[in-house]
Amino acid sequence: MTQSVLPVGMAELRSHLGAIVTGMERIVPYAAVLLSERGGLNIRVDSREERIEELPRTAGTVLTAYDGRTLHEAGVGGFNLGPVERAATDLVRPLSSSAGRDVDPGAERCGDFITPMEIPPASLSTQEKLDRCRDIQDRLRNVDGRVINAVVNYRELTELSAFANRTADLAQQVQRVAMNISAFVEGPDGVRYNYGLFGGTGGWELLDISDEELARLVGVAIELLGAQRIEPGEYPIVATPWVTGTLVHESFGHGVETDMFLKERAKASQHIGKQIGSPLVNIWDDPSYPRGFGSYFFDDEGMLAGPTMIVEDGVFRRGITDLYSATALGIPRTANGRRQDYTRKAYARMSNTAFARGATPVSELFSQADDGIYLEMWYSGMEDPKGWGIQVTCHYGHEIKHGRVTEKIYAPVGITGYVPDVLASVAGVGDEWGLDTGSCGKGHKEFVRVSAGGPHLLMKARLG
Amino acid sequence: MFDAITDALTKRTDLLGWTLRHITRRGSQLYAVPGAIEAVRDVAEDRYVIDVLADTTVPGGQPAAGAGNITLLPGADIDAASIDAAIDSASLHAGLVRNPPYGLPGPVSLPDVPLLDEALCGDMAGALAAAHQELADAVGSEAGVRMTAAELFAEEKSVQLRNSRGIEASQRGTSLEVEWVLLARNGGKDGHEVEAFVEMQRRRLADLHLNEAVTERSGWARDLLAARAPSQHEGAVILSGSALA
Repeated sequence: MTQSVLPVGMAELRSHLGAIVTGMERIVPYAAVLLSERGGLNIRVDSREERIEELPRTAGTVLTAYDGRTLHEAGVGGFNLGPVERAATDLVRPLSSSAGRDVDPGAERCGDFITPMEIPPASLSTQEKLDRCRDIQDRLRNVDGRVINAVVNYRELTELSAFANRTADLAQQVQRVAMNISAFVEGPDGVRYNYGLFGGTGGWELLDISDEELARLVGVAIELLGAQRIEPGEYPIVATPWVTGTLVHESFGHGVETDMFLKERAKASQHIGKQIGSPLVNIWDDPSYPRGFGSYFFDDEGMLAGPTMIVEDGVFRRGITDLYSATALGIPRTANGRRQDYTRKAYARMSNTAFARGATPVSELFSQADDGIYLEMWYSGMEDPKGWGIQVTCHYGHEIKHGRVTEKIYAPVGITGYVPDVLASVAGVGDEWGLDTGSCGKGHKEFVRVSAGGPHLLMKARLG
Repeated sequence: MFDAITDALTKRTDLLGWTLRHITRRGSQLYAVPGAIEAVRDVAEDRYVIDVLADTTVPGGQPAAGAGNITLLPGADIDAASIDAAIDSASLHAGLVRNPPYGLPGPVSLPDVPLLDEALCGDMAGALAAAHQELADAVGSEAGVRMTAAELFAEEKSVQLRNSRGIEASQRGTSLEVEWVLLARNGGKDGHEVEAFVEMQRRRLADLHLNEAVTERSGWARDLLAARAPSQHEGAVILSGSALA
């Protein structure tokens, strides 16, 4: 039996999409339709306030007509057949097929997909979700008497979409959950905090947070009460998967979105097939990665999800694409054409972007570092695809002395450098691996859900 | 629909208060890359946002208040049953929350702030095409820089608001957002190249002044070619302009 992926209104309109595409392609050489509904729930519990909010919700239809030069699109609110058919007619009426590039509609493909879940958010009442958040907040608050506030921020995000062009008839229901928990502690010299991120595509089974994890989180917050500023300079570092992921996201993530190639905004476009880092560097993007927060089954331009090897053994192989940039650059498409919602254009965007797993036990990385810094949690990052500069701020880092992590803690710790120099310094790749949960903008807008991660890395970096 | 939702809210005896907003947006977008218009888009959105406030109590019995919200989207889910179900959902969320009590504001006189550019509303797509041409011409007259990307957005947004304390208000406004990328280069094909990204937001076309902005930002892009990392310094600095933002 096929599980129903779309609600009734979307499913009804979906059955007409083939005819709408055919009608538009009487005028233009390529047409497509995307139905998109996005929404969710946010529950926030802290020691002073509780909040339950519906996340901003959108539901609409994107009609795309390509005339050989330009993508013409109409974003129509809702899923009513009449307005969508009229918008399709109005969209193509002034157009004609002009000499230009052909769009490859892709191989024949169809399917309905749904995120596998053990505890679907829809199976719990709002009261049950609130109670679970309260329980985690209560456990976090009671870890230590110095905790003055504990914050639990839960989000569930549901994306429903259907895509059709002349070779595709696809539908998906993608369910994401995320929990951001923070502990604020007070000491003689002020207040410090620490936070943790949990979640992925799936249900509440991803949010089973143990007392040990909460105790570790609070323990670091207490350590941060005595944190020092690091002496600026170059250090051997061991980066956790979270810091590795941020480095990857800001360097060979944003820097290889091929719409930026087209706009001459990415230095990587001049380095295809060239060595850009240590032979230990392997970076991929994969929207089909199981349970990744950035996972989906097909992108907003109808490409089925699959992995893209961006950097292989230190050589930059290829970027991640949207339809237009791949067509204009004459390169194969990847499944990375993503929209914030139906009111926005699709761009080349990351999904789950990661440094590939290595084989070295993490304890050996510390031994090889000898004296250095263990960077454990990121705080923010900034991309610079044109200049290949990198700036990542870590929430904290511990000292490594004689191959062992000490109790000396530095916060915050900034990493700056030139991307090829940073990647050339990678000297060890650990055997433990993880992905975080996050949201990513294109510049200051166009937010989509992504993850970034990797293994522990041994490398050198300029810290300050 | 606005009145139907109002009627449904008014019948509720379990709510301390409510606010209803009908928000409509329509807009045009233009995206340019070197030598081509990548995409032109027209978008429309229509939504009803309901915020409700409910009396609740903390476990000790003291009075508290909870807020909840829900959105109804025409064309996706609006009918009489869905209105009641949506209010039920918002009310349920509000009933679970236990914050210190507060109420909703009542009517007050509001200033008449001009938010709308009628000229822009008439032909948003045409206005964007003209603005893009003006931008391209202005950059073309500047030495040593070229534009490799531009994004232009125009939007008209209307909000009608009603609440349980008697507020009846509405407003229409326009917004414009223009972004572009300038590149400047020293030397030949493999020379040193720098990028200047510009982002402007205005309400009226007449306030864009693209020629002046291009002149100013082109100078910045050319200056960037000569920029070097500063030496280490600890002491006084002066911040001005957008660095203060």
